[in-house]
Order: sequence, then structure tokens, then C-alpha cells
Amino acid sequence: MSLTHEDVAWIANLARLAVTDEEIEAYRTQLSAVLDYAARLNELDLTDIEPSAHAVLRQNVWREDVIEPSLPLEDVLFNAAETDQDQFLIQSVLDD
Amino acid sequence: MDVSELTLTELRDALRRGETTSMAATEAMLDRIVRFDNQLRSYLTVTDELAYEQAAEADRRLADGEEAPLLGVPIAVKDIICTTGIPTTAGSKILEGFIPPYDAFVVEQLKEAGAIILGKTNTDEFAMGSSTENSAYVTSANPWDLSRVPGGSSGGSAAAVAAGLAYGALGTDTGGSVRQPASFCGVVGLRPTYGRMSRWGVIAFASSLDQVGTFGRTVADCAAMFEVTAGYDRRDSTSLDVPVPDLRQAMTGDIRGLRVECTA
Repeated sequence: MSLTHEDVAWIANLARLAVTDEEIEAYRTQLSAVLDYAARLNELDLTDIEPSAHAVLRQNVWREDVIEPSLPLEDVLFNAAETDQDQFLIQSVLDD
Repeated sequence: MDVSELTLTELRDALRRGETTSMAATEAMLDRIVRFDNQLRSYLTVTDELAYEQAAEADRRLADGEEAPLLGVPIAVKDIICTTGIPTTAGSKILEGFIPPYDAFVVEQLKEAGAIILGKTNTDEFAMGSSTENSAYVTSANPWDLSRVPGGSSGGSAAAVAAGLAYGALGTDTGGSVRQPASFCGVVGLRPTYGRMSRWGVIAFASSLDQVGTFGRTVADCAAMFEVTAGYDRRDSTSLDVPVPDLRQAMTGDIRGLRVECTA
């Protein structure tokens, strides 16, 4: 796919980049080569393949709102530098 | 037979046939770690006592004819993946001394499969880097040329597998952190599709991109670890509830007709 001088100038304008005529010519060649490379994907036969926008099923994941077993308190607090009444004791962040 | 020369799948089969023991394989790896890791610096923590205990247990189970996919096979785990009772730092001084109270899903799966955990491997801090130079502890070396980096962020895992300091290893990949070090170290690295691996117990870098991956000396080795560690886990709501394929069936050796596009 060959981009024109005007295409590149327009892209540069959209990106708010100031480019000289010489630079536009250099980018025209380079960007065209990139598009040519990506265009090779069109050689694949995708007749029986469903289009996909994302690799992962995007749906919300719910669980019942019920209490389930969790880690024992002593394990949870094991790494705490200090504890008080079964809670992490840390330096205060905000003044009173 | 030099047990350290075997691939992961060769070792697994040799263990099942009673040709060697998990203790011998574990000892071979730990000996090599002592001999070579002062130069490679691929491990941040070596859990030798635990590994010997696990190996003795695996040998008992093997003697009883028990079957588990990785029974008795010593492997390494990137230090960003939580392991009960074993320090997990993510390569950061912030987490120095942190001992996780629970195992990551993938570690639960490895243990369930009978694998032996040799230790925790070096990583760029919180996986942010591509060389291990950003680890707050050490920079690992590339076993092929000690003056070069092994890549990263899972560089410790890649170097350990390439140097024969583990039969396989787990890493994580957010933007290349398994694939790139595997390439630098000449081993196989697999980054599975997002959602295939549970991120439960993996210290996050970018949650919508992070995936656990495997390092092996061969494709079959990676597949064997993948089959064990992949799968649905309700504690990671982005993990996919779809069956894990039998990759060995796909490994016919025939790759005719496949096209691989490589973008850089």
C-alpha cells in the first residue's frame, strides 16, 4: 500500500507534528513498508473463522454472596510488623 | 546416565520406570546450583531442605506405583509467584522478608502434580524490566556468555533452565517476560493465551496482560508443565472455564501447512 505525500502530511497534522517535506518523503516510504508488511495478514484464508474483537470472553463474573472459609487470622497477620487486636498496626498517615 | 542431562519429560519417564530417583535428580540440580549459581545468580532463594523432603516423599509415592504428571521432577519458580512459607520478593526490597501465607494457583497445581520446588528465581523488580538488571538484589548472567544478560523479567528462570539448574521453570509474561529471556538463553518459553492461567497468587504488574508461562529445554517439557498449571480457577475471575487441550496429541512432529507470522 503506497501512501501519498498528502496522506503523511494529514497524519502528521492529526498528530500535531511539524514535519518538513524531506521528512514526509522519508516517512511516506517507511510507513508504506509497514502497511505492506501488515497487509500480508490478508493472505490468510479466514472464510470459516468467526471475527473476534478480543481473545477473552467478556462477561461479568459473579458468585453467591455467602461467607466462605478464608485464611486463618494468624496466617494473615504473620507478615505484619506490628498488630493490635487482630489488626495490622501501621503508622498514621493523616493527622488527627 | 547423567541425570542432570535429561530433559524434564525424559526424567519423568525415567522416574516412572525406576531408572533413577527423585532424590538423585534433586541432588544433581542442587549440586549444580552450588557449583554454578554463584556466577549465574539465577536463584534468589534455594529451598534445598524442602526440596530434599519433597524428593523423599516423591520417591515413596513412586515406589508405591503412584502416578502424578510431574511426580519427583525438580523445577524452579519465579520469585513473583507466591509460595507458602518460602520468601517471595518480586525482586524488590519492599517485599524483603515477606513470606506468603498461601500458594499461587499454579504452585498448588505443581505440588498436586508431584513436582519438587528447588527455589525462587530472579526477576526484574515487580517484573518491570527485560534483563534482570532491575532486580533489587542481583543481575543474573546468561549461561552462554556470562558477560551478557539472560533477558527478563523472568531471566532467572530462563538462565536456570538453560544452565541445567532446574528441569523446568515457571515465569510470568506481561509484555514478553517469558518469550524474550527464553530467546536470549536458547530455551523454549511458552506464554499462554490470556485467561488460560490463573493469576491467583501472582504479584500483579498489569492484571489485564499478566500470564504465567513455562520454560523448558524442549517444547514437550513446556507442554508438560503447561498441562499441569493451566486451567480454570474461580479465584481469578478472568481465568477461562474451558478445557485444557492435550498438547501432546498435537505434537505429531508434522508442522506442514502451518504458517507463522513474526512481528517485531
